[in-house]
Amino acid sequence: MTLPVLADAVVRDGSGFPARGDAAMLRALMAVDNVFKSLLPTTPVAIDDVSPLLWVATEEGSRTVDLAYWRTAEGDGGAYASPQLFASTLPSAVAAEVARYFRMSGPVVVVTGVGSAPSVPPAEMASLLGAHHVLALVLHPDYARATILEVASRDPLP
Amino acid sequence: MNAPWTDDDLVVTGSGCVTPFGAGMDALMLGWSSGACAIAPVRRFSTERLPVHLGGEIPDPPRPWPGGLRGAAHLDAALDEALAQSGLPTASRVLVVASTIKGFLESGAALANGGDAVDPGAPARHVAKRFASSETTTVSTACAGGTAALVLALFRADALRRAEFDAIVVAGVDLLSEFIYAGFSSLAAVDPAPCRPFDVTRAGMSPAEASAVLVLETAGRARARGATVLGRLRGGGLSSDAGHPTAPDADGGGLAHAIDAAMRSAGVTVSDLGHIHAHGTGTVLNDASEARALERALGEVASARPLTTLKGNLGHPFGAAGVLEVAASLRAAREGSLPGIAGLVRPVPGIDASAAARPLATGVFLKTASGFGGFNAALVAEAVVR
Repeated sequence: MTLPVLADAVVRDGSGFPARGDAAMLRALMAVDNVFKSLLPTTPVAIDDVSPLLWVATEEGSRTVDLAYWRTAEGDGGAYASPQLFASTLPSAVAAEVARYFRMSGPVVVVTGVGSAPSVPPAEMASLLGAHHVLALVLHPDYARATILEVASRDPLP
Repeated sequence: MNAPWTDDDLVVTGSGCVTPFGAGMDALMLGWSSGACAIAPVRRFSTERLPVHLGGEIPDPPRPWPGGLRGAAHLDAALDEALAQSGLPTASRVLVVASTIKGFLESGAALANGGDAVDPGAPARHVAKRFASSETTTVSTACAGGTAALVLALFRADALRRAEFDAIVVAGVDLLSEFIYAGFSSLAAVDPAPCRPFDVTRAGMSPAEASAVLVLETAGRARARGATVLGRLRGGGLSSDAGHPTAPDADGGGLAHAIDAAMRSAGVTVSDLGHIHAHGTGTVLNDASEARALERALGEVASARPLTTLKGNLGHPFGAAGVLEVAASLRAAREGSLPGIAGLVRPVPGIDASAAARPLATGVFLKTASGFGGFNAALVAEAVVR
């Protein structure tokens, strides 16, 4: 069963949405706070169903974060590599923070690579994985922009 | 439940790998079954300024390397072996599902240049070049990615049944680089000695590298081609801890949820499992969380199912781990003997782990995996027992 798409949105730089949430976490992750702002409209879906499919596409995570981490690691033979920045170099880092922020305990699929695209529409993937909701995000290079590809549900939204 | 095999089953017809034991499944199984440890002082880059110095490195493949990329040469060798065993024609229409964290990345210095050396999608595209027609997807859910890629392949099997593709090729690849090694060292996650998964004295993981490939197709198509069926994928589950960025859920709740989903979708109970191939990184937190998750999902009887992991022999090859470990467990179960865990002396309570090899009564097994960000994956597979 393919889920109906209930909402589409494209959000640039989180503009128009109030900054909210764990300020310390946002400071720690610097580059991704706009993503969190972008995601605020999806909160009703996330809190109503703690197990939606979280589907995230990102070309390579953030080159900015990778370079920032590497600057801490390349000198002195890696002795001063930053553990916080290293954890954020994984292409799945933003998905992890989104899941944590919204307490999403369902399946998470992170698709990566240049030109990454869903081989199956996220809503269909949610059906395959038995999730009732899907939150699908496309993270643009260096997290400068997030596209909420779709927020879909088998069930009526709250 | 011992479900009958049908033509619609998603079966494995080929496997291949390159690991710190060298190229090929035979080298892997020989090293694993003999209890050998390939975790040794890192030679590819200096660890002089770090508090840890060991890792699982693959000997350099012969040059030239495709595109100058060492990882591509490793992946080619694993793919060659899997395709030779499977007999899958290169004219096939193939869905490539790859798992990686950093693709072919060798050094942070390459970040400034871009291209295939830094693009995590490069391994999938590299595999796809072998086939007349292909589509690629790269999964990157940290160290759970390899198992997650197989779960996604399982749920895409309908595309094979609808004849949209002839086969699914699942590939896992990651390299041991200064970029990654310094990061895990900074997190104090690396054991100064070779890792000892599930031992009460364990003190961390051992970073490593590997490439692994599995060829999947429907049983009906495999039979029609005359391919040898190695086993089948039966069920899978994914979940998130929604917790700490790097530490697993101490109570194992997230992984238990993935295990439960895998067991239910496979239609099996714990008594059907011949063994469990755990993630077993050797970190204090991971192994405790995993043991707790198995108990939560499977009950106390889980402690009587033989449990193993390759990581005591090889270290942790990140995005390649799940694909490699499923390939190894399929082979072990086919041969009816489960190798033990290298380095294990005093197992933690609540699991049935051993350093010694043990006979296997059934080909059905559970593979579990967890990664940074709280991502979990579980897969139930079944080997064809010889």
